[in-house]
Amino acid sequence: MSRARLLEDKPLTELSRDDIIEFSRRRKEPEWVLRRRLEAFEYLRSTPPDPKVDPLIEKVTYKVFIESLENPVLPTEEAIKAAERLGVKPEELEVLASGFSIDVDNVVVKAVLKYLEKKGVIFTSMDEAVKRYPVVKEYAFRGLHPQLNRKTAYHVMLWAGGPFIYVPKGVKIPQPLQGVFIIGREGLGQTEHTLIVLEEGAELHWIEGCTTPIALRYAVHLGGLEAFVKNNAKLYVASINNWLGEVHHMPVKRVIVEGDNAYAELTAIAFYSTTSNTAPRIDLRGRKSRGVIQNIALYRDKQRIYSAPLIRYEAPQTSAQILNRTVVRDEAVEEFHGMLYAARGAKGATGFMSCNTLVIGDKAKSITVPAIGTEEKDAELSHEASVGRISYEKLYYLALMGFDEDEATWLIVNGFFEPVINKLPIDVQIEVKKILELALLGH
Amino acid sequence: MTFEVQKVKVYTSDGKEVVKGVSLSLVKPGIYTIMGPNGAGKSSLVNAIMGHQSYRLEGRILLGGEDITKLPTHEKARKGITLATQMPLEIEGVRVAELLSRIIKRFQGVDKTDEALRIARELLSLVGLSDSIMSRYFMVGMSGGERKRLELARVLAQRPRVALLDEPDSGVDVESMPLVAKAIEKLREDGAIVVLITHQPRLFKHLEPDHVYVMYDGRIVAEGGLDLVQLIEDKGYTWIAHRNGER
Repeated sequence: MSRARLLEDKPLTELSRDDIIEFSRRRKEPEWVLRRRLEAFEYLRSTPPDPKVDPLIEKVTYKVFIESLENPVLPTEEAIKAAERLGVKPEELEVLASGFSIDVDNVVVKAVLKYLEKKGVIFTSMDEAVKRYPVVKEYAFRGLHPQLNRKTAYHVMLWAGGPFIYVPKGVKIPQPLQGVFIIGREGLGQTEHTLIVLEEGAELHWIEGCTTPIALRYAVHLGGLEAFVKNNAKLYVASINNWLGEVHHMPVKRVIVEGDNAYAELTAIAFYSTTSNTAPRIDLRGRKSRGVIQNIALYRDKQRIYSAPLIRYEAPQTSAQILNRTVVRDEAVEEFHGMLYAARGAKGATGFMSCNTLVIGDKAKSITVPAIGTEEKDAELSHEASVGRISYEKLYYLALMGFDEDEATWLIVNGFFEPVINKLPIDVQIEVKKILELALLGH
Repeated sequence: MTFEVQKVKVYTSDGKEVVKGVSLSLVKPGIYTIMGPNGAGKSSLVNAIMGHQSYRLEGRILLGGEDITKLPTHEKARKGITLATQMPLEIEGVRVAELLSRIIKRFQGVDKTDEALRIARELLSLVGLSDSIMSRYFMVGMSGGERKRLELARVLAQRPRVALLDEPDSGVDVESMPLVAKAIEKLREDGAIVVLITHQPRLFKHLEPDHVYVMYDGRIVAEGGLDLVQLIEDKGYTWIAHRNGER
């Protein structure tokens, strides 16, 4: 197939089977990866469009998508600044996906990587990993499988880049590993796929930051993360998103906690995107395994947010929490549809869902619809929700201390997030506070 | 530094006149006490001075000769006037250390956080609060007495030129009263004009005011020294108000 054919300017929603085959071949992928992409293609062809997904992807053309992959922006000063906007220091940058990486000549980072390598940890790009490591085939697209839903199917069909992290039995990585994903140009800038496998007793903190170096006219983030957590292993994932311009954020995430007594925590910290459509999911399959999904977000301007975290219990004595703590201001509208679901076999499952929203201004809206379902009689699942506003009395009280309205709002918002933020790794705490200050005070 | 309240009338949002023409001209540092029964208009007066939205104020407020009547509350605070509120509010999720250090940095020109925290600890110690309170959320879960003392530490952190204190002694136990008095004394020592609203003469066992005003039904109806406090104890506010022609 000619390059001219490949770069034909058509919406991503109208790709042909041949386009997918050609796309995979250009990337020199093994056959099994292509098969997964084609399964996704078939699923998309056989299911009706999703009004929350398809219209956004439709606006990106194949040409733009390919060009952004094949001619990525170089690691410019702007990209480094963008990383800093996530609170990441240049010397901490190691992996930058979406087709490019910034390699920083940093002794400490190199020493850490060498240490990890010696322990048998694999930390490399997914593009490489699918070709080099047989273990990838065992796990990739098993959690995020092409038939999960249309969003996931688009992701599987179009994924490129992202890291693969494999932590062998008993290895606890002492400090967080960090990746920064940058949408450097218009279009479907990010379809990175992060795959994490933690063997028995392993432990990992993975921090991922997503941002844009400049305000974009239009971009879609369709990144994916899937993870597998074995017996007694612990996984902590923190995703920090801070976008500029018109960015539609719709990542797909799924963690399968396969092992007994294992633990997984997914934390999302979101500060700006035009729309956001997220549905992170944890499946608890190991006896006494535990899962936490927490979301800290500041929504503003005319943002439209749809958030539907799900924790599914499939084993006895499993426990879980969903915590949603958001601030909605200006004309932003948030819709929250969290769900805890105890399937058959989840005897003695316990769980709690807490949704607290602070609404600032008359036009901001928050709609909270928590759901609980169980197929086991002895499962104990509960939820609480609150929606509050910043009272004049509090602003006045802080004004007596010399804080103007913006500063007082920042303090109150910061305090509102504090109970969740203070449980995060210290690095993340500092970053999040910095971003919050930028977002609310502009300095 | 001078602080003048000129012919101030205060109206509530439903139009009720709660302060009916009060003038004060305070020209040197000191403790100026306003005493009066509940509903006399004392709290309304100080909150209206600070610009609370529930009140409409007529008249003028001058700080060092500058008319600050219409300035927003935070700008008044930055000019050096603040109010210790009767019921300090909880600021959830914001630690005492963070809030006080931010205030100290702004009002005392301190750049370094360590130095600001050192000053904060000193102020807390002055009001009898231990270091451990630094890591607690501001006012959250604190007893009435702790709140009042923390509020005074906050006011001290601002190094105000004018400190309006709205019943800093209410809800304070007998043992803590000297600490409250000490903090108010410190404000005077630092050169502030302190307007102290109270209706508890017991505070004056530990503190001698420079001047006492009696407010009754929205007006200043008497003024004097400590002997006036004794008269209040003996005869009550109504008697004083009637003696001086009110009603």
